[in-house]
Amino acid sequence: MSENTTANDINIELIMKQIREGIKERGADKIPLSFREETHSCGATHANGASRDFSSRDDDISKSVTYLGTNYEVSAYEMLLGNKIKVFIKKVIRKLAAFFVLPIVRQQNILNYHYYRVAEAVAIQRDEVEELKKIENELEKRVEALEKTMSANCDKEN
Amino acid sequence: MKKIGFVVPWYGDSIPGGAEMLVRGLTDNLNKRGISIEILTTCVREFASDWNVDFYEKGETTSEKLGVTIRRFPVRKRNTAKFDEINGYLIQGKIISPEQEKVFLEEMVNSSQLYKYMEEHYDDYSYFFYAPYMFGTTYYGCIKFPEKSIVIPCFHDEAYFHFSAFASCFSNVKGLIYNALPEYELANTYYDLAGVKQLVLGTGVDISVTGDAIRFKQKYELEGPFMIYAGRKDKGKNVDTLLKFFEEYHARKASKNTSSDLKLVLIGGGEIEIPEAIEDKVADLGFVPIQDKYDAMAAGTFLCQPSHNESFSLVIMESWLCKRPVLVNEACLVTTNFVKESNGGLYFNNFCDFEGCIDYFLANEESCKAMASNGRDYVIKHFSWDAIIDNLMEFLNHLDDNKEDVTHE
Repeated sequence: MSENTTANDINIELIMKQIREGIKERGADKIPLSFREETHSCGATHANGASRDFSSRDDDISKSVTYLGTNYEVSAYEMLLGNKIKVFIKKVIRKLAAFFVLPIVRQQNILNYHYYRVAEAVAIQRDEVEELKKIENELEKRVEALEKTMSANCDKEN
Repeated sequence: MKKIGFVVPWYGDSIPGGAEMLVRGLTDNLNKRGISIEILTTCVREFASDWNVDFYEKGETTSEKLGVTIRRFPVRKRNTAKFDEINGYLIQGKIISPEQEKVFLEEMVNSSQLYKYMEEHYDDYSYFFYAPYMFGTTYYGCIKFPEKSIVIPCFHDEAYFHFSAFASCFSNVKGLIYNALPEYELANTYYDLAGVKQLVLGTGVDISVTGDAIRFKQKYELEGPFMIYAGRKDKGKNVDTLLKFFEEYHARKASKNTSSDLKLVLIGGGEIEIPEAIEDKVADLGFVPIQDKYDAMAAGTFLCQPSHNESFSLVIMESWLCKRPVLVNEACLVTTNFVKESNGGLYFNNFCDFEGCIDYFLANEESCKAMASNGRDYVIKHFSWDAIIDNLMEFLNHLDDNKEDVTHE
């Protein structure tokens, strides 16, 4: 944007498009985050970069991937319930333990994120294998049909 | 027209909160137009205080600020533990049963004496206005006196909104007044409001607001660029995400050896734990005088509104009036709609957007000024109190017409 930008020159949807293109070009969206990111637009929780939704599937792998996608982040900040004194004591304990708990939680979350991505990749590859099997079956059927036609033609010629 | 009674869970001439400010603005400006207004409320001090404690004395007083009558009634004692348990589920986004909804509403802020007064003086009032939707005073008032009930619900798509009790309650009221079009669309998606008169009104804003950046920097001794958050600091407002994102922003900059001196200034009540890694980069000022808030807005690079559940967001309007742009959460239809309509700021849907938008603001001061100017024009055009009260009076004058149309701003 030039130094003399006026109010009329601003098109924020265009600016957002440029910002998002820049993010993709730099690969910033491929760098794992140290926490689970939630999006609220569709009411569901997806992990950063998750490309496929397995939630409507009923098999064990899909169920596990869906579970991992929404639960892989371990939070060090659960809501503290109880009366004021209990909450205060819990806060003090949490504060005292923070210096060694928080780095571990952060590492665990990064690790969990990678477990999740591996599980997602396994599920996607499983789908691709199933798709290839379908194509293979289809081709086998076509080969069988062709063989039958060819042998029938041969019989006719003979 | 007879009196209009504004029924609210608490009232104070200067207590914080979006709905509280909206009620003060409406009562003040309707009163100035010659409409007889009364505030009917409990003796509870404010949202953040103990709802079992009658802070104010019961009885009739006059608001020093507005000059309108306030009638206060003692609050009914609640089972806080029961309420907190259910509210804990709701905050975590869990679905609750109709029985739990009932407990939640019964153990909310309520006043039997207030409802009794409304029943005994029913004929003295043309309408009862309620705000916002989730409090006991609104729910039980609407259940008991639906034909005179006009609700300014401030709906958000949150767990409370999906109570079956609210769906049946609000389908029987006289009128619903919304802060923005997405709120109207949300309500009509989930509730059957065929028999309810509805108006998308918006909120009036004091358009004389200005801020002094130098005064703020001198008073609070803050140097360098900063983003500002103004509002209640809790999970419901998504401030925890803002802090997480802000921490990640600095961690990424540090990992690339491009450390940033951007700070985060927090203004408002509530409690939130600041992550240790960014403690030196966050200035939590708590409550400050209102002019200091405007000065802070003028001094900041931009204001961030991370909430995905806003029904209006006065602070983004104030930021524009103080000539600074805003960054909003794209998951919030209302604030994103304001930003897109005005070309007054940017929006984020994830961390990468957040980081990209911050970098854009920091690198493009001329665009920041232009966005803020757009936002300021937008506020003045749509949300001056004169325009708001004209629209509201028009709505009230036609409430008993049999028009099928829904009135829009």
